[in-house]
Amino acid sequence: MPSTYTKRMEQMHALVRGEMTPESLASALNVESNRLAAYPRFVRNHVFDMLEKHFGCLHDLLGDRVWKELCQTYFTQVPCQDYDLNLAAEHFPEFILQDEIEQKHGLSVFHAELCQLEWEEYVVFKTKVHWPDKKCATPVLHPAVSIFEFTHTAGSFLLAWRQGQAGQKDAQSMMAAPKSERVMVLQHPRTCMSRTYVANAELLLAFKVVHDGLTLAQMCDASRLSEKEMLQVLFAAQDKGLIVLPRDWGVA
Amino acid sequence: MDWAALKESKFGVGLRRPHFDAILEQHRGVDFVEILPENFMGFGGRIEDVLKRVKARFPIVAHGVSLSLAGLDPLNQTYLNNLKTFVETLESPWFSDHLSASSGHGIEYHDLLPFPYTHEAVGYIGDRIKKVQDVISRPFLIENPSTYVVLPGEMPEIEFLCTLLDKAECGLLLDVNNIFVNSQNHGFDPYAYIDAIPAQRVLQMHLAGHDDQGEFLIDTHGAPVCAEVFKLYAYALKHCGPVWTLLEWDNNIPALDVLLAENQKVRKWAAEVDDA
Ligand SMILES: [Fe+2]
Repeated sequence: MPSTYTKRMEQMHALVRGEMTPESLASALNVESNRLAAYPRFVRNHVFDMLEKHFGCLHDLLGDRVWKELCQTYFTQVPCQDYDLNLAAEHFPEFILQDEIEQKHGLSVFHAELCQLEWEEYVVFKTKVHWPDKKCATPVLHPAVSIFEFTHTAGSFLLAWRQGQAGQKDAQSMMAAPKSERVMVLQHPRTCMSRTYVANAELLLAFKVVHDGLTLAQMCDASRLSEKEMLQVLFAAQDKGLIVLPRDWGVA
Repeated sequence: MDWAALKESKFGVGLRRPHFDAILEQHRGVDFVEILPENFMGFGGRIEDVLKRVKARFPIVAHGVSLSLAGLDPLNQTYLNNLKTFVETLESPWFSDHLSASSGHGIEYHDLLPFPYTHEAVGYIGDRIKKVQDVISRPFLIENPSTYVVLPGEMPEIEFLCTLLDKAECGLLLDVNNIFVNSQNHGFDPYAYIDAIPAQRVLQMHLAGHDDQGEFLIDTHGAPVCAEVFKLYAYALKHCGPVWTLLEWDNNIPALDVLLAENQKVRKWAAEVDDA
C-alpha cells in the first residue's frame, strides 16, 4: 500500500489505542478534534462496557475509582484480539493477578477468585455442551461442569450479592476469615443458561454416585440413605442441571 | 452476477438478546431477521438454541462487522473460514460488512474507522473484497459507512463507493441513515448521493436512528428513524427498486412491540412508494 494510506491508518490506530491525542492528530488531518475524539471514546467504551457486563460484582466490591483505573490499565495493557467483543474481557482475571496490579489496588485472593468465577459463567454460557443422550437409561452426569476449589467464599458472596444480600462489609469479613468452598458452574440443560452453585453435601453426593455409574441400590448402599432419600438428592441435582435421570425414574 | 434476480421486497429487524423469546411469539410484519455473525458464531447454549429456533421461523441474513476491509492487517482467515461455514448453515442469501477498518496490528477495535478515499484505496480494498468473495461463495454487499471526519483523500465518498463497486463487482447494502448522518456531518446533498448509486447493485437497505450531538450527528442506532431519513428512504426505494429493508436498533433497545410498530412504519413508507 502507498505510504500515505498506511500512514493515515497507523495514525488512526494510534488514536484509538490512546497512543496519540485527538488534538495532535486533528491538526495533522485538518479535521475537528472533538469529532476525532469520538473514535477512541467508542473503542475504549466497548471494552469498558464488556468489563462491566462480565465483572459487575467485582466492580461493586472495588468501588468506582479503583474499577476505572483497572479498566483503563487493562485497556492499555491487554488489547482484544478476537472478533467476539465479550472476549475483550477474557484476560481480566489474569490481569488482576499481576503483583503490580494486586499491590497497587489492594486486591486479594478473594477478588481474584470472584473475578475468575464471574468470567467462568460466560465461558460456560458460550460452551457447546455435548450431552451423550438426554433420553438415558441410566443417570447421566452433566458433561461440562466447571468445578473450582476456592480458598475463599467467593461463590457464596457472588450468589448473595446477586440477591442484594451481600456487600462490601460481608466481603471484608469473608476476606478476614477465609473459608474454602467448592463451586460448580454449569449450563443448565433446560434453560441453556449458566448456573452457579456452592456445592453442598447432597450435590457432591449426586455428582459422585452418578459419576461412578452406580445403580440406585448401590447408591443407597454407598450413601446409607433410603431409596426415597436418595431419590430426593438426585431429583434436586437434576433440578439444578447437574444430572439427568431416566424418564421412568419420575420427577420430584 | 445477476443482481436483478436477487431483488425482492422484504422487511426485517435485527435479532437482539432482549427479544430472543418474544420474537418467536410476536412478529407481525417481520419477513426476515438480520444477525451479527460475531454474536452467534461458535456459541453453544442459549444463543445456539435461539438461533436454531429463529432459523426455523424466518429467513436470516448475516451482517458482519469484523472484515476490516479498509484495515492494514491481512484478512483474518480464521474469521473468514468460520464465516463461510456460518453463512452456509444459515442459508443467508448474501452477507455484508462495512466499508471501514475495524482492526489493526492484530487488535480488534469493535468499531468502524474511516479511511482516506484515494485511488490506491480503491485498488487495495477492491482486491480484498474479491478475496472475501472467493472464500465465501455467496453474494457480498458492502455497506456505506457513517463517519464523523473525512480523512484527506482524492475524491468524495460517493465517487469512491461507485468506483469500488465497479472494481470489486460486489453489491451494496445502502444504509440510508448513514447517508443522512454523513450529509449533515460533511455537508453534501444526500439526494444527489442516491442518484449516483448503481441501483441494480442494491439488495438491502438499513434504516436507523441517530443522535444529534449538536456539532455533529452520531450513528447510534438507539432511537426511532427520523422523518428526513424516511423521506430519503422513499427516494432511495424509487431509485433502487425492491430491496430487503432492515430496521437497526442496537442501543437503548425498546420493547419488541415498539420495534414492530417502527417496522410497520417502514412498511407503510415503502407501500406509499409502490402506490405512487
Ligand atoms: Fe447499517
